[in-house]
Amino acid sequence: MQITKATARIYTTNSSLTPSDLRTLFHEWIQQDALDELLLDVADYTHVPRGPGVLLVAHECYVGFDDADGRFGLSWSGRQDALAPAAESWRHAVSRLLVAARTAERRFDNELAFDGAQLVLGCNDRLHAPHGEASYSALQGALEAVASEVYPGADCKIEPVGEFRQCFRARLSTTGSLGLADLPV
Amino acid sequence: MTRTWKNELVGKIPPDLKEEIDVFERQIARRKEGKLDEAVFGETRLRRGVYGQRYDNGQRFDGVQTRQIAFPSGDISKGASTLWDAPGMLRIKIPYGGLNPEQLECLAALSEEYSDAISHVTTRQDVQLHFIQLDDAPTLMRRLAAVGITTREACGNSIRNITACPFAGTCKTEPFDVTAYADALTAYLLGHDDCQDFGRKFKISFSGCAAEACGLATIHDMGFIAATREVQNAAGTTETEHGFELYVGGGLGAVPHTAKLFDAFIPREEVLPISLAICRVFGRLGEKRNRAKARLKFVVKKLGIEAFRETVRTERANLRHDPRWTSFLADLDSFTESPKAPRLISPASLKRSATNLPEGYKAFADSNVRAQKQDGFNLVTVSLPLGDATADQLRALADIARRYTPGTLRATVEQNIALRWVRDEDLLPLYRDLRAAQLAAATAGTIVDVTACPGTDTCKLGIASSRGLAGELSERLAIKNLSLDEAVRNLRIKVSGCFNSCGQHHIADIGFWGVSRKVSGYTVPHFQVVLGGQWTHNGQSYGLAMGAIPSRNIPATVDRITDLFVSERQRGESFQHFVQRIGKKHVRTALEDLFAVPSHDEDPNYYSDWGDPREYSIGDLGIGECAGEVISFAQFGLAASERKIFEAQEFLETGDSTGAATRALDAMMVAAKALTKDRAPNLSDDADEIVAAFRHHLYDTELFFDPYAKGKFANYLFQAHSAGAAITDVDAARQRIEEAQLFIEAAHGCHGRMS
Repeated sequence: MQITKATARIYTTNSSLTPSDLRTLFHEWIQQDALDELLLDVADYTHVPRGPGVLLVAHECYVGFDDADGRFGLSWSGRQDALAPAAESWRHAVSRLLVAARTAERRFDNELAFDGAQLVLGCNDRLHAPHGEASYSALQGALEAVASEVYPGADCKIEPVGEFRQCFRARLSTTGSLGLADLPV
Repeated sequence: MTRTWKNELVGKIPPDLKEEIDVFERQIARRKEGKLDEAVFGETRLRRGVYGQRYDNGQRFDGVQTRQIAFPSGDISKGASTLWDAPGMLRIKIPYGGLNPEQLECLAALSEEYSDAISHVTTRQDVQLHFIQLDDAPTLMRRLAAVGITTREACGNSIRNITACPFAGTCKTEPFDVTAYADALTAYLLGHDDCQDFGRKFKISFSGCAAEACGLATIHDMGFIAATREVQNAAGTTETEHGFELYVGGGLGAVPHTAKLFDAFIPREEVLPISLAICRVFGRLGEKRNRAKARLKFVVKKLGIEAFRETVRTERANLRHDPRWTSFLADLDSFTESPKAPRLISPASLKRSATNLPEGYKAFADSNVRAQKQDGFNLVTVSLPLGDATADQLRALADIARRYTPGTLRATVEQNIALRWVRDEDLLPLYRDLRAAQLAAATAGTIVDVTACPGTDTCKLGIASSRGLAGELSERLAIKNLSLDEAVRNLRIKVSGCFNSCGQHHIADIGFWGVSRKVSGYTVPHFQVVLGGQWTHNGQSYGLAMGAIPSRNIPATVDRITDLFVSERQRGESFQHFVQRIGKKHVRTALEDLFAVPSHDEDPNYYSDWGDPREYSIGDLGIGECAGEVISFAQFGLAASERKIFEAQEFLETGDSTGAATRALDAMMVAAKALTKDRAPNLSDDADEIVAAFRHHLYDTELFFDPYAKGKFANYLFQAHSAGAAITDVDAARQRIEEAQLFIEAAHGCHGRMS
């Protein structure tokens, strides 16, 4: 199964950052070409409760700090090669997410840390992967493949999250305390 | 086969919308191949609601230097200075702001899949999605069309979304519901041939009453206000006749004009024909070259209202009768909303609710709830900060609308959503549901609920950050909202990023519009302060400009002005009267110290804008697409004829000779009509009529004649018209296509000579 718009999300364990800090961070990234994506602009939606937060807009993808699902975290979402298998798309999304997370962590040193024991993968494409059991079954293999690479040798729980009208989302979690440095990806 | 929305939605989209979207998709492909002129495509794109965004010229100031954005598609453009890959905005027309739950869910889904998960309600009851890729636009349009929404003519030199009072049908001050009229006029003028040749945009609104603000009739090109009069019928008894007070030539922008009264009473049967007559006069007499003077207000000013009125009446008299002018009147009842059946609530639960009010409910009820004219029902305004809603919030609103209302919602011109027909006994549970969705801010119609256009966030014309400022003001005012003096709490603040007034600053109590000033070699963001505009009475009068204050001092400016109002206001005095009474000089004196800009060393904050840490610059200003390119009806028609020739060739390739011949003939007809319409304004789509008019105006006069081939190419049209579609032979079909191509080439030549 293919997914055309993959998403990946990681939560923070510690963040005292303000919207102003995040806007400054993203503008710096544009100035410094800090990511491989073609970075375009910064959008601030922190006035909207549980919204997209502070977004770094790139060509055909977004990187953003938000609390959209009730917990503060960093998300990456972007268009994928439509012919690539789902696992490949998610691998790419996770890898891009973790690059952004590590870059942010370095910039803020002790003010920001991520919870490496949990990732949420998803797909913003209701045509090919609507939220629901059928998509979950079809994509379970891809999710397991990514989980085995992110958490090699560890027990990993995979479960769908969200409600049927939302985009497809699944949480990958393992026990213990993991930081970004502990993730092999 | 790869699944596509196009295939999934077969049979679920009205045929006319399907055809339009298919055509637009083909135009995208043709433009990418370089087969469609940039200017024609640019205006076509705008008329399909696909707008440019800031930085789409491929340049952006990053705070240190202006950088080129290396988009993968390189220099391919989708309009003047607008690169193909650059994200744009999709403006989605919501006539009279009317939405239903399915539409909200669709908007939510589209915002997540193609945009940044935010739907933005505009000051003209549209919804906008930002950061859209042009190649996705046809899919978005199909999914919108499947729930009854079009983006057609949302932008460009066209009739924009027709707005109306969001409380229509329920409001105590209206004589009757204007919804059906706004709906009928929307359908009638959408894509109308006579509205394709404008030099600029054209805005229409309907208000239910004269005293309130909701429809803002007097800031529109055409503003209708519901009116009634008593007339004697044939039986000699008195009847109440419904009609409209009609205003024309209003508009904000750089040069605001209050609309002039065109007629104190237009009978309802005349709403459509008079509107069309005004549009035709605008199309004919409106400025085409100088965009700054191309709105209807300049035509009215130039002619004077008396002469304008006479011109329109003459035009009206010459209109060919159209049954649609009155056919909608038989259907007025279909717009009457009925409340949802009462929910079963136990008396014990009701009693519990009444004695156990949740936190914040009273404030919410005071500001966001108003009683309908129908006893026992309420209008509930849901405040959206800066007009923004998340996908989850839209889905929650859809659920709420289904649970408590008949499923009819309205976007408002204050960038909110109005729920209608909420029963008294449902107000508390509704409030709880809104709170759960983080939609229960008790700010509707208050100073906290600041209106703002997109400004420098996404607009190419933005000079200062209207949304950044609006967000800052809202945040600060929300903290002290409930402790504010009542007179201050009900004031309106509106912010525009530039003089074009999309944030409607002219009609706010306290308005701001973005400007810049040079200070010691630096460019500093400022806002012009406009005080005392009139929001009520349909936005009837505009505020006084007080001068430009540095952006960073605007929150202090608001405090200073509101404190002044509280301390020096006379008993019962409105803010408008207060400003007029104390005068500009007094206000300026009170604000004097706030005009100063500290040096860069002293406070560098003044040299960046709200919400944007970059050193401020106006280097990112682009060419606005508000006005669009002026593309004539003839140019559009000629482009359409080329598209049809292309389709004819496709038919031929599949072996369908009759289809190919028919399309080729259609192509000639479209081109002939495009050329002739200017001389025969009433020309319909009837082929006999087109050919006759073409012969009369362009052939007999020899205007169409090629310098060398003379009338030869026109004869191709005449011959094909006589022969009709009775062609089954491949060679004959091919010949017709070739002749049609020659005819269209000659039409281009003729257009060039006549322009």
